[in-house]
Amino acid sequence: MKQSQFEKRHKKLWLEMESLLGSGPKGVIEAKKWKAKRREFPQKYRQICAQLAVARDRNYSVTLIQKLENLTLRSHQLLYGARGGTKVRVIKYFLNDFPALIRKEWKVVSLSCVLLFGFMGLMIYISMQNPHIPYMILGEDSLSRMESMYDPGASHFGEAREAESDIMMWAHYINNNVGIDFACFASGIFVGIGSIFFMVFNGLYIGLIAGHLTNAGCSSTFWPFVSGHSALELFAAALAGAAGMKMGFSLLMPGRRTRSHAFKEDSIVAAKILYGAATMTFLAAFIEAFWSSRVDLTAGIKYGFGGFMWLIVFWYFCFCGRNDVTE
Amino acid sequence: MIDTIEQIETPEGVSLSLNLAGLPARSIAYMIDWAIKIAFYIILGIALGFLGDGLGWTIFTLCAFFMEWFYPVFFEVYKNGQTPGKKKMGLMVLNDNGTPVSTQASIIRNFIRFGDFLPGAYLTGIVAMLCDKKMRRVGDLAAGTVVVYVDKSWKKKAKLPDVEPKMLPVDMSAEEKLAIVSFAERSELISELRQLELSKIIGDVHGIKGYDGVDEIYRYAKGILGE
Repeated sequence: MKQSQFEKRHKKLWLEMESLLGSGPKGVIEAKKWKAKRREFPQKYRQICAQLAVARDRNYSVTLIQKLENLTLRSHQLLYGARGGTKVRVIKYFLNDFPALIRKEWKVVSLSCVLLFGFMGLMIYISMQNPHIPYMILGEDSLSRMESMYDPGASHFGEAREAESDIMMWAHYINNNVGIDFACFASGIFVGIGSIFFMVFNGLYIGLIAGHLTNAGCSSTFWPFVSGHSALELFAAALAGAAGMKMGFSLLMPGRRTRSHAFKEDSIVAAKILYGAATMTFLAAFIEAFWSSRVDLTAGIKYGFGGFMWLIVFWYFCFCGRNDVTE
Repeated sequence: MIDTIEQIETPEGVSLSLNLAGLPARSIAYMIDWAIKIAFYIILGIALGFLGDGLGWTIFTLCAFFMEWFYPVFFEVYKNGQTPGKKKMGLMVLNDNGTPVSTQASIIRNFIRFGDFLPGAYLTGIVAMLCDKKMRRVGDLAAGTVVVYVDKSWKKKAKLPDVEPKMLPVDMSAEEKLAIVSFAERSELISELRQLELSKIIGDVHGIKGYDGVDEIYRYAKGILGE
């Protein structure tokens, strides 16, 4: 068959397809709604695929083949692009998949926890035994600023603030702390070293300050302040680090996969850990800004709430998602 | 071999080609996005100045957080794989199987941006792009995405020169016929002297000198297409 005959015969279908694509959606979200209405689309798409193959085989002109290729590509994107059920997946993720995933990835999670909490504990111990060490590392100025934040006589605890600015600090905690989670994850691409660095550094830094503030007589304000959000925030930081390590270690130890494939696969696992970690940090920002900073609550209430949060977090990661509740 | 055309195969068994984008185009797209962000911050800063320190600063911080981490994700997922900068440069992000970039892939590739940036000025990302055959930065490798040129050639219609069709005087292979048709289809893009030069390659076939020889080849092209 000559090319012009071929073009004449199939022109109607191409125009139909073009108008289907023209009225088509932009992006994945619209595509879901659009696809449900267009039942005839897949069949037409397969016809175009066949015509493209025929056109190539018969050595029709480059322009025609390009035109068909483009038609096929855009239809392909529309047909295979959209996947539904986001809402269900989000619910299932938090009730089931996230805690189950953390248990499954217990190796990197433990490593990350050991690094963060281990160095934190170590540094608290060291700086309490040797009170001069925080001064050597952080300097007098920044330490006295820390002390003034947790001065037992202050009207507000936490970072320097005026009465109206709880909400300001809330935004700051989200921007800063969730951002750090993302950075811990992203720096994992250097075979996990970036994430390890963040865990060790944060552990040492937090430990240093906690140790110093205890020395300086601020323990009656500092420990109650941090107890409320500590469970969510610290564990979330450890999980973000674990996500980065999961991704980075796949380059070192791909197992029976190619390195690039392992990197791709484990990045998805890492992202799934990160979603949960970021959500926990997000929640911790509410507690830190609106609960931890309150001066009208006694230390006992704050410790009680803090302990309760630790219990919840442990219960969630140990027992949630053992049976798939959503099925 | 360096080839910026990437072949993908669909489940229907036909292969499609993607035109991969390289470092310069992507850098310019990034800089456009960067300029848009800066402009947004300035306008937002002025607008929020009226709200006073407390509330204004709160909104500004939250906006900065979302702009920093979710600006590209939002546009890639909702606007056809194109941030404003990529749209301007005619680029789009696709999954490496040719489908529109998924939300998950977009989040992975854009969060790893921070790692690609290290130790400064996107050094890691640039090295990765220069080393990788498909010119992907580390975020693309992790997410399984590629940045491609949006193909607009289908919008143009090939115009053949206005001549009468004519049968080929000799038998030709399929590839030779294809070359003649391609030559005719691209007639508007080639200068007249170059057309003349090219037509001389098969001077033996038509035996006509000068611009009439070029027209003769166009007649053959129409004959091959069957018009």
